[in-house]
Amino acid sequence: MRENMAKIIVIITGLLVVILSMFFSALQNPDLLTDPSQDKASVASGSRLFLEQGCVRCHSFKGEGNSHLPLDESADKYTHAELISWITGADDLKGIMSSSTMKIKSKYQLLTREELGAIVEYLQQSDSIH
Amino acid sequence: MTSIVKIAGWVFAYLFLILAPLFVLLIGEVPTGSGFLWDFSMALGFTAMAMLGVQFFLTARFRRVTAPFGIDIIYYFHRYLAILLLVLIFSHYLIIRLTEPEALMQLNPLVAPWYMTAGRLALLVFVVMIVTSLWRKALQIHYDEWRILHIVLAVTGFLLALMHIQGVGYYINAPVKQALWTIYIIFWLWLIIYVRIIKPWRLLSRPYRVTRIQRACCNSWSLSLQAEGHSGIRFKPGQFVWLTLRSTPFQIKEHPFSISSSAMKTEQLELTIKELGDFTRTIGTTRVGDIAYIDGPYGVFSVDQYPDAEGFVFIAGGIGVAPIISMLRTLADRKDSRPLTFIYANNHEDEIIFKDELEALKCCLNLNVVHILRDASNSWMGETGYVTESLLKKILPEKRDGFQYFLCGPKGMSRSVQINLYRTGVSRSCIHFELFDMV
Repeated sequence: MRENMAKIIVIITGLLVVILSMFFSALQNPDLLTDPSQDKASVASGSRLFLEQGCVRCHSFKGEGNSHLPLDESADKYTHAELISWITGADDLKGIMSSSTMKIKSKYQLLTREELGAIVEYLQQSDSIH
Repeated sequence: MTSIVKIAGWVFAYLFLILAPLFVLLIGEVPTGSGFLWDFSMALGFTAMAMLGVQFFLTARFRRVTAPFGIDIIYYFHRYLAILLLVLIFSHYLIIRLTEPEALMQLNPLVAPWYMTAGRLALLVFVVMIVTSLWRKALQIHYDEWRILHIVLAVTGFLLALMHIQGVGYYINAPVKQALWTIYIIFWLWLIIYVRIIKPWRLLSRPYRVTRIQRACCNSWSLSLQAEGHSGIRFKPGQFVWLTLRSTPFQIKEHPFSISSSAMKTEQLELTIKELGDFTRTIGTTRVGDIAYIDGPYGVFSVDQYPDAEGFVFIAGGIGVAPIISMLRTLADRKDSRPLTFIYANNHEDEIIFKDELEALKCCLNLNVVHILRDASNSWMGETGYVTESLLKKILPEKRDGFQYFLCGPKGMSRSVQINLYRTGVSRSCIHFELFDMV
């Protein structure tokens, strides 16, 4: 009976952790709850793509995302074409960018020219935080 | 405060400790959601980190925390929680592996970012911890070596997980959260320092000296310890202590044993120990004058937990007599007149510990002692076999309302006696036992 008490509290803990983690995730992703049928193409702005493509996991821009690698000054340093190279992990960056990062970036090669352009335009916004 | 309120309070505090950090992440600057599964995985990872800290707290043996539950249950909880923890950490990894494998970057530590390698190593360390704890005996790991390994792995795993979170930086980069997270981590690190340095240092200033070592029966010994330069410990009969012998408290070579002496004589402790494991097999080589250290007392297996009981029934197997004799000796010293029954099971007659003293205690207590042997000789006149339902019906007093029942013996015996007691109409809440042999 006493041993079962330990088991029950652990099971309750597990359930609470899963439920609250789901709640946490739902709070972080309100679009999933409010408008799941939204057509992605219709909101494929650079800002939207920046979030959708998971850029914020490693980078921050205008205060959003992982501040470990901020992109606020990227537009000042690189041209439009260079930024597309950095986003897609182009071959000319071999040796500059690590192979593991190149691998992650390779998936962005599947984005269309318009989508990549939208992301770059978003990064080049003049009201970015410097 | 009643036990129920205390238990509820500590369970609430525990849930707060493991779940609150999750919502601290939502204070101030918060990264935008990156998909339901991604953020779900992050939440599992952060909660697992908070639970890791709680694991250190659970085994720190804070008496106020452990008292309402019994420390044996706390250790069981620690074990089950570790399994849940591993499931959560593995789920954190697996969700990313399946949904965003590129985010895990390369496996090769030479090219992978250090913080990703730290995360992978932490997962590996936790797997090793669980395997070596659940199957220690099958893996033939010595208990003392296992304890050191367990502590080293726990601290290493905790630090690696911390490096992983700090390195990734996701969710905790805002200054407020950095500060809160740092305070939280410092608290757990302080706890590790308290348990491994401050507490052993305090024990060092309260030594005991071995004054007598006596064979209690064929393979059991009674060890008498005298407090040196202090007044000893106050304990309830039936409680146990962690004994450090032939080493210092810093060396983590301590073992739990029930106190077998009377709680009315605190200056001298007696521990009765059976030669069963790596450490106990050497107990007979202890010499008078050896220094010992005592951490305790712990446990809720005591008649003193039930001062209003009408009477007590004790059922022990083998060395399980140790806490029972402590309770009987204490009740005798207090001149307690309540009816007591002691059913004592052994394999052979020569294994009966305290046989003569139990007979003598009948003179000063309202005590009925029933010995039962599994392998009795032809000359044995007492009960034989096991503690069955029919034996209990025959021996237990007819009027036993308000009685409390204490079981102490091997796990198999304890389980079967519990079932037989239920069958004889004893309520679960009146049956008390402690669970050991956890690793």
